[in-house]
Amino acid sequence: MSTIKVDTIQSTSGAGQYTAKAWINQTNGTTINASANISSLVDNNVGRYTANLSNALTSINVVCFGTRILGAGGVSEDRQGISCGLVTTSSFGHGGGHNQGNGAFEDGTYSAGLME
Amino acid sequence: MSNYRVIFEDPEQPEQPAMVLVPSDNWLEEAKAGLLPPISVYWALQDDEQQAIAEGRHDTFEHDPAKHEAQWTAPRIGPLTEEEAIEYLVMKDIPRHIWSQEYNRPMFKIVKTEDVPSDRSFRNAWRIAA
Repeated sequence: MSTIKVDTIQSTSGAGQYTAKAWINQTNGTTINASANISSLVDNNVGRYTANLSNALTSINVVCFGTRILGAGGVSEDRQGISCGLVTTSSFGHGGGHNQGNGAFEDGTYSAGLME
Repeated sequence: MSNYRVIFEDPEQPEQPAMVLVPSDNWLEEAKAGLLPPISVYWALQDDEQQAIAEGRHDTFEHDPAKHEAQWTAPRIGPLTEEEAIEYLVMKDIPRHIWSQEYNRPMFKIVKTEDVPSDRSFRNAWRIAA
């Protein structure tokens, strides 16, 4: 395996390219469907999860992003979003599924990640 | 997919139900291929960040460049079995006070994947069985 190290990547037009430092697509906190720079996933409770990073970041000067793809029943629900929990250089919390009715956290399929 | 999961509780958060750690397949492959640095590399980073949190300067904290770079430059520890990799992961990804101290009951268990309930009813009340 080879590693490429550069300070800046640009497109031919000169625009900067920005990539996620870590991301995960997971279901119910029990199944990692796909990921990058993730060593493990912790199922903390219903709809509340922590992703641990394989390689730590330099700082917490990052953006946490994500979305809830499918509800626990496998149905796409556009009224439900995601919240990011505690972010450290080696992990980030995420979860959500706030229902309009009761605000409860819910399981489902989530994608979340960090950009630096 | 890994054959193992780690169930743990945090004695500092007694109201929190048992948590379940799921290893990443990608990370496990790296562990089996011998690509991991010594666990002390991660501990050094965690210690520095915890100190920054305790001193109220987490928002401006940045890792020491040499310690951060050690994640890639430190000598590799060699290939691990899956069982060894899970033990390494416990020490890397589960808070240290959970596995490094003795309590009056076990605070974590490494279990077979099939031993974790698939039924998530009452998930917010899970506890490690005695």
